[in-house]
Amino acid sequence: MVISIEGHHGTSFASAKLIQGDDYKLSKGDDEWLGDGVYFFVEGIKSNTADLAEKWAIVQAWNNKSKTLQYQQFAILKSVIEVEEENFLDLTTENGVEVLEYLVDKYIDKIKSIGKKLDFHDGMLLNLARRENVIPIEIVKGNFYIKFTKERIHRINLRTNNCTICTVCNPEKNIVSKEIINIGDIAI
Amino acid sequence: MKLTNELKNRIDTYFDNISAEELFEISVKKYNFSEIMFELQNESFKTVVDFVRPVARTSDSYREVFDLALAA
Repeated sequence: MVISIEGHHGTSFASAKLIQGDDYKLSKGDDEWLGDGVYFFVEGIKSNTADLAEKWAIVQAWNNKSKTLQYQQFAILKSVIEVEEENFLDLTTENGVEVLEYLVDKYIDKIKSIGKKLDFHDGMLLNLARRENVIPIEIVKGNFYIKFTKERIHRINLRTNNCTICTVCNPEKNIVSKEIINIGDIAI
Repeated sequence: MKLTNELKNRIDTYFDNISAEELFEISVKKYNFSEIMFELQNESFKTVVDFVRPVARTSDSYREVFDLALAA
């Protein structure tokens, strides 16, 4: 069964134009919540995902080191994402968490057998599972607490998730449409 | 995605066919997992420095702390 998801992605207007003409670029690195991929805000904990994407685009513009904006104009892209159910790891459901926990248990047991312990988080293990072809992941969805402008300014560190995001590991395959739906200016 | 018997078998097969040493190596080198070197009560430390810093705050000397680290 094919699952269809609508997602919103916030970025600079310049990047959005490049994405429209070409394709999304993967976010990579150890800090990525659900592993490498293109990230979207999707319906879940909140329904106004375009608003979340706008907040994200605004907070990402701020360079805290130089105390300047990296871009003055943001854009929100709307995309439709399609994936076969067996390639969709939904960590907002019991079924999805069960898959992740089984993977963690098998991983820990193996590493423990040589007396080692490793520090890792979900995104790192998901990268390993996907790239080593352990499980056929194309899209992962999860609930997270993301710090937008207000949370950063007031140093609000809640442990309650405030949004649902998903990562698309292979945008060329799973993203079937993309359009800029909003452009705006960022004021300091 | 559900944890079907087919998916379980697929995960089991991967872990059955890779050695623990190889898994450890790719975890660290390809996926940046970090090895936990020392553990103190409920905290874990990746390096000696991580271990020493919190202990040093309540200890008389770094010598004492390093002795403790080496004994761990």
